[in-house]
Amino acid sequence: MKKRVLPLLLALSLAVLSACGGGGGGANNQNQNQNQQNGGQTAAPEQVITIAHSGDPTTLDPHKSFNGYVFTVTNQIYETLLYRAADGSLQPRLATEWTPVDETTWEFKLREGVKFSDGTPFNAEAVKFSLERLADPETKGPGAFIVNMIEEITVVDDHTVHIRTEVPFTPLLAHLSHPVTAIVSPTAAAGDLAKEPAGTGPFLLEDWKAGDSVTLKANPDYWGGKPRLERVVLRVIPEAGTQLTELKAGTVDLITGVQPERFDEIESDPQLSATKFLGWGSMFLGFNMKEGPLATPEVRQAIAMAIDRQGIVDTLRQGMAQFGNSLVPPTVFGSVENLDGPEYDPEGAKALLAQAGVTTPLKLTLNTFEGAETQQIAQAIQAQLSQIGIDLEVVVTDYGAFAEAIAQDDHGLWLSSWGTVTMDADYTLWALLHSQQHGADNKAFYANPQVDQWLEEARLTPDDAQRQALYRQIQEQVMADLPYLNLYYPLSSYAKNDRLQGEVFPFAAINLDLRQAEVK
Amino acid sequence: MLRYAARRLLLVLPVLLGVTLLVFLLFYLTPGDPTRAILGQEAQGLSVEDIEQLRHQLGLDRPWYEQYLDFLGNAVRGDLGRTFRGDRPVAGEIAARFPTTLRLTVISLTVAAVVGIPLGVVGAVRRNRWADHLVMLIALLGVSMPTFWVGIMLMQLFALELRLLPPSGTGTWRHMVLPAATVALASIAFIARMTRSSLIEALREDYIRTARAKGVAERMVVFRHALRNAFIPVLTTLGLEFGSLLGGAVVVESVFSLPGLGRLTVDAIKGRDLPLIQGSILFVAVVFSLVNLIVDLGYAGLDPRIRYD
Amino acid sequence: MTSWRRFARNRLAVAGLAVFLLLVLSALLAPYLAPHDPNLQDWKIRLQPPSAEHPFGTDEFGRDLLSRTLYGGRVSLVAGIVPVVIGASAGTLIGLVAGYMGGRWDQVLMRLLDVLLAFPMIFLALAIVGTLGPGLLNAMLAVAVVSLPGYARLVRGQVLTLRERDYVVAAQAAGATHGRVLLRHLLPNILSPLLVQATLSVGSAILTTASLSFLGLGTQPPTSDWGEMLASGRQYLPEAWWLGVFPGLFVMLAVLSVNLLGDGLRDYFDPKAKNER
Repeated sequence: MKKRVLPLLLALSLAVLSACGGGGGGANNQNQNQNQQNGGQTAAPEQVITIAHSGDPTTLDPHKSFNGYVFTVTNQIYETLLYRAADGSLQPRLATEWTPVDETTWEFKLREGVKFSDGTPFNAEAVKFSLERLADPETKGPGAFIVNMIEEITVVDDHTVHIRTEVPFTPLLAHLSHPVTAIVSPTAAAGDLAKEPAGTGPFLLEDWKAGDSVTLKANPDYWGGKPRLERVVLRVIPEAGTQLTELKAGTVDLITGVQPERFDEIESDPQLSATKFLGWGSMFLGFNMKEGPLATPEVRQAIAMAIDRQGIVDTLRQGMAQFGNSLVPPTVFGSVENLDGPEYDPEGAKALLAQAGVTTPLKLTLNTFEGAETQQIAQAIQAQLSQIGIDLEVVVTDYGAFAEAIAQDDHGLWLSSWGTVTMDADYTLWALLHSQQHGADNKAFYANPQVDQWLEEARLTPDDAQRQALYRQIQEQVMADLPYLNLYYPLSSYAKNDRLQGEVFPFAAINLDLRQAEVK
Repeated sequence: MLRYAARRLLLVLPVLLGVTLLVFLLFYLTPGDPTRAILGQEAQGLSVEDIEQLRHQLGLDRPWYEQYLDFLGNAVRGDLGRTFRGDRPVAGEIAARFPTTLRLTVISLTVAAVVGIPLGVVGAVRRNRWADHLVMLIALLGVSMPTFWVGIMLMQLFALELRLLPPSGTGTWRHMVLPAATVALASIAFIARMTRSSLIEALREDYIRTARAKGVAERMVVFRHALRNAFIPVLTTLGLEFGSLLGGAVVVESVFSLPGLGRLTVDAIKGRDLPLIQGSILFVAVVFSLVNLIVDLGYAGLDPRIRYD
Repeated sequence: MTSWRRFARNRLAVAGLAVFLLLVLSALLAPYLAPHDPNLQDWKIRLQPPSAEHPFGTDEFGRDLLSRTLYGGRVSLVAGIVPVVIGASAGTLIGLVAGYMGGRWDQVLMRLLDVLLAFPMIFLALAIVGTLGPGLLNAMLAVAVVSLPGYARLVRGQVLTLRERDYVVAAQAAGATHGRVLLRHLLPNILSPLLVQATLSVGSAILTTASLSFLGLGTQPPTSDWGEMLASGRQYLPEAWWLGVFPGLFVMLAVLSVNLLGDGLRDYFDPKAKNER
């Protein structure tokens, strides 16, 4: 009932106008919409699905971008040596097995009988070519840092390569599952991969209308067997509201990133279902410790105590988030469970500020970037900090301006999401905490020689248990020093039309695996 | 007339020079370093050296005037460079996006003119009577709501409640109905108002009085004589609307997922993709200037009183 | 016939004036009218439909929407009026100088304005806000810059026709300074079309600010204008319809009323219309 109020009001106020304005349109067109795929067919369903994509992929060359909109597409066309399965384990993809040769060298056995879609055989040369191409400055690949630690790639035979790193680097395997390390056809790479991609993946590019859609078709020669889906259309739909409308109208089969408030609405539709799961993401608050009031530990502590993180998880995010103190979510190697952190205690926070001799109201700024979630959390924090006498100015900008604002050292607090895309804590903790990363991602200007040393040790240690112990030590120290406060781990989510079955989401939208998917 | 056109064309050049310079200045006045912005949200975990290296690759470590002169030199030869994000030719990006924007603009402006001009005529003929008031009120309603809001409402109503039209995207002509209606709604008032006032003006001219005195039917007076003269300012309005819609339909393109030039430019501005910002704004400025020129030249055809020396 | 009675002949204009004054009044009196603190968050009552306690319902933070709408009016009206004042003043100055001085001055100033005009409006606003940073003040400045060429052209055109009028030529012949001619003889005669244009622009300034909010570059939290309320409420539509309806209604009323008022003023000032009927 209430759903009708808005359109009705509109219909009233616009009755005349719509009649005129829409007159050029199809008001009298009663024909069945061709695009409406879920009619009442009796024949076998057409194996075509449409996926809503929030942004335009700027290129289909996996080495030339570091962007989720690109990887969602390239992940269907190309493959990496290793593959992150839904249970979080690393599984063989183009590499069938891997063994350490010495401290710094791994040997990879490659899958045999695989061909790129342009006919070029997949072999050790192709692996060497691809990884070197990614690292080559000429490629201008922003994701080159993922393979920067690789010193040398040696072709042992047609189906064996050795990858040697400068120093022992345990997370290498995780890095080689990252979509940016996709193996591309050396022949096709001489042309324009951005438009004419050639990989070994389950789907081939059929058509790409810039800004509008990318159409993929099943790769009949896929080594894992031809996918059941004949065609996958990724449509660029930037507005979240439009995506949901499309899903409800039956014109789109899959959307990712569902608003918490929308779950009931989607579930109430018998055609649709919504799923949420813990991914690799975290949402944290950073403190610039370099100067100003935030250099005082008590101020950071008080802020942490003034924020009702559990309340944010339960009410604002409506269970679309999981609470935790560790900087990486429990899905990631190196995450620490039962890590003690500041408890919600606004009175205690006030007392702490008074004790530290801070005069209130204390003016601080918080930078964040636009997005429904970040904007919501920033406003919540703003309201909560006002309770302890902190006057927080929230600056919401597009991501570019946000990145610039906190790139200098004169920022205050910032709110950011982070994805541990390699599923290994090294990726996140090194970037956020190591003192060499000042000016890069360590925007807290956190510098603790002890933590630096532990981080380096964890990189060199091959033993999982030892590494885990180091990451616990590091994060306990972080809770004491508080350069960052993890707020929660946002759940990943997607909603689909139930005619689509068999899709797999390992941790993030960009990893969508459609090899076993079909239309029922 | 030809000489006039040539002179006007020459005058467009300094304007374009100014536009490109302004874009460069705005870009470099923006505090901070664009490299991080170009890398985007997912590029986390980079070292300082990684960022330095990329900055150098993109040429962002050179002085701005050097970059500007480079851009000019290439642009003169028709090369707009390659995008920072994705490393694709800028000209190709623009060419891929322009048709959608052009289609949306032409359709919605046609609808707006077809609806707006008659509304304006009714308003002028029935000046200050209830029909005038009603017509202008209706026209104004369309322009009184934020475009994105109108778009979302129309989509909810026609795509979800009534299931008459597809919600968004491109493909068939039916996809264009809602976006075109949304844009048209905002332009109708503009056109209706201009038609009304210039027709009122025209109806006061002496020759109209003469015609009336001679007993020419009122309908003939309005349609044969007055409307023709009232048409010039209306045409100007249409030309201006055309120009601003070409680049300004950003919001509608976002709501209805249309791969247009506006969205391309906004994405470029947000992603600090300088070559793409530069290229698309330059392109829109060229088209805009040409449209204005054509409108100006069109006067001559319509109004013999205007002479070009 | 008094001027008011002549103006009042246009019923719509009177209605527009009345509604606009009411909106201004409600914004001014927001602290007295608002039942709640507009920024007080109560997460337990988020997204509630209209009730006796919250006549307009609550938003995604459990804030009272009626109170926010009343306070939002202050921001929206300021965002509608201030840029127009700035843009009109600066544009008038440029137009006066260009039109009156003519020659080089005119050429240079007009080419500079052409550069601004050749930019699609929303991009210029975006680029300016992008450069200066987001926020109400910068958004207003951007809207002002965007509207400036329109005023300058209008004023220049008027000056060009007035410049040759007898009284101007006479004043010049009598040795009046440029400043005196501009201020005493030209400006007063341009004021009425300027006022009409300015009134009509208030509505589009409110809408442009709303578009900037939609694109994420409008006011910064917790301050909110109607456009920003609509833009951030859009993700809860159509379920939380009140988030779309109430701020939307206020935007519509504001823009509509100010447009009706502007149209009425135009008819009122229309010099030829005075002699009719």
